[in-house]
Amino acid sequence: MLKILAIARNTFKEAVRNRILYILLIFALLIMASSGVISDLTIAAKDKLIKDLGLASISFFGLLIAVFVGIGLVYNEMDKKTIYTIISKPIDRYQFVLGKYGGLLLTVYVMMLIMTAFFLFVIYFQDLVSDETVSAAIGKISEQGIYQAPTVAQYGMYLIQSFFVATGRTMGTLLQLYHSPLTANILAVVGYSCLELAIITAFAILYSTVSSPTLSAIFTVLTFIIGRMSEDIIRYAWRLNEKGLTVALGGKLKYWFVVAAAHVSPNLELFNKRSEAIYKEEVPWDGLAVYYGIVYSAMIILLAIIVFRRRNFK
Amino acid sequence: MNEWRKIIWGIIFIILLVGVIATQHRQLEQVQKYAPYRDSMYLPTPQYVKLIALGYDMILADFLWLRSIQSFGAHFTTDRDYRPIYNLFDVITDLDPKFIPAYTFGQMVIGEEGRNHEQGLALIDKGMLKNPRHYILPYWAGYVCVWDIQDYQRAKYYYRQALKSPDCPDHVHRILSYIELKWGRYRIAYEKYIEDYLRALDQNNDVIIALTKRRLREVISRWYVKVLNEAAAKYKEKFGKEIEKLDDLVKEGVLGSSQLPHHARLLNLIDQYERRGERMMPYFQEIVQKSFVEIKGIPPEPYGLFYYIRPERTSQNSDFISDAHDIIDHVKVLVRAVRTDIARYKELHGAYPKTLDELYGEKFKSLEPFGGEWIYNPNTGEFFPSTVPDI
Repeated sequence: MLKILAIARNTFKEAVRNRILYILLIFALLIMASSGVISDLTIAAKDKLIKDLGLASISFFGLLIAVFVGIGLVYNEMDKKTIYTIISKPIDRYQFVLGKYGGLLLTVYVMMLIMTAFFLFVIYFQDLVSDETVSAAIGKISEQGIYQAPTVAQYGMYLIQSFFVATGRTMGTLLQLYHSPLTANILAVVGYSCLELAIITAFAILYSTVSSPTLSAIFTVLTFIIGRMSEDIIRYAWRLNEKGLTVALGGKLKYWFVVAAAHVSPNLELFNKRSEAIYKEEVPWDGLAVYYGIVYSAMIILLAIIVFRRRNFK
Repeated sequence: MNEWRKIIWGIIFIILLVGVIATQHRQLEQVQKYAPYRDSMYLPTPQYVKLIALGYDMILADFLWLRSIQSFGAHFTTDRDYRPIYNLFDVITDLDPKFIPAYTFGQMVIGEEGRNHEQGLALIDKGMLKNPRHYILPYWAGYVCVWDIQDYQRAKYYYRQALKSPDCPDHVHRILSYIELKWGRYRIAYEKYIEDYLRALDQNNDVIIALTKRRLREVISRWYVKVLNEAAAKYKEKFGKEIEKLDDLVKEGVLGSSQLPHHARLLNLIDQYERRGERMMPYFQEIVQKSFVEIKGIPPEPYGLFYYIRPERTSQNSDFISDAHDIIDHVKVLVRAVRTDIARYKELHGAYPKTLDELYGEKFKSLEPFGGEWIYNPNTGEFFPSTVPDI
């Protein structure tokens, strides 16, 4: 276990030195920060736009981080021959793969935590500086009943104050000291996204053990696409059945192949809870998704271990 | 040497950057001049868009939503042809079926602005199927049916659907009553308003009590006017001419007695039941039944005013008889305006105008609305209609 942790720690250290990680992170944060501007373009559902953009950014950039950081992890060890130093030590290959997976997952989760914290900050800050809140907080009604807007200095002070309040609330939310239905929903969505990325990261590691980074990137992205379309794959099978195209042997084989593909490919839509977070009061607990995420990731990592154990480094 | 190289590369970069910005600036100017927007006519069908969204359906719907707003604004300020953006709303609502503003805004663009009400309502129907527990969509459609296409039957369907939603506000009941009133189904409107009134009494809702009380009087007034107009039509059929005096309806036997609600009696009844200190709703049927009386001849005008024979019939209103209450407010405004003009004339010229024609420099064309004449006294500056002298 200690060996796995040591490899995971090293993998994490190595990953955080990767510049692409920071470029992706900056992009994600910029998009979330711009949500206030984007929402100004709408005539309704401003809050929805901000939440959609933030949650989609966390999911999408989490995916990109998993892909671009994960694809070279094992391959680079082999390419730079450092793998020889490692496997010559009393470390089993499964420990190496598990360590790599753990390190990469930790990197992805840390990045998601940063993005989530920033997103929560954006939501809190947007709420504090909305026209209605500012009017209520520092606007005044004169004796004649006319609204008087705050001065620039008052507004500046209010912005600084809001910055600290939003930061405090963000920290409070992450430490579970500050609760609101909205933040609980956001944290639930991020939790399910983490499970989704556990599967994608496992695939990235698997592909990294057998192919070059470019091919691994392509395979991982394709896996993600297939995963997001797995429900459409089974719909296609049903369609074949409905249209009576499964009578002939060829049709039957096609049908069973599609059904098998739909069952084997990762069902990533299961982890997409963004709609529930926006429209429902509470994101319902989905034990099946949690179970599926853990089991599927374990299965892919096991496959990666089997493949990696069979590799000949002589 | 290396330093010089760096500076030269830097200068080249800046020159290229300036070139790019200048070219782009020129292109943007052209875009602003000739193509302020790009339509989305060639957007694929919703199924394909959903497929390529890869689970990011909602964010894609948001993007198309912003685009629809921009596109609408561009068309609104130019050709007002919104057909190219119709399918945007279809795609948005397929990507994010719970996005209620997309249905309502889409209906507004397609139906109200594009004058394609059927297609606009079809979008709302789609939203109702996908959001059955939201009252706002059928409520919105009901509004369109009442005010835009005057299809009361359909409006009633939508408002009834809205009432099935748990979040439906109470006033939708009153809208249904109002539809019956507008539709001329006075009996139903009358009962519905009594129901609303009693419910408001049980809930101690003063605003609704005042509102429904006012509406009840309006229903009774219109009902009476309808009875009078039916009699006037019979009179015309019988004698081949229009009535000249209301009394003719009774004299010639075309207006007999009929069972009609009585406003004062209704209010008395409600007052009596209210004094018992019990809930009012259980007495609804009883109150309705008891509020009807047999009225012989001309029914009493519920506002304490009078009925008048309309001087002319138009394509919008072919009634022979109207209730003075319907236009009394307009008459008041006209009288007030003329009185102000008279006072101003006196201020300027030191004396009242000799005639109203002199006041306005042309013939005073406004007809006295109740069939009488305008009374003007050049000595005192008094002005009023002969039929309502104390207006």
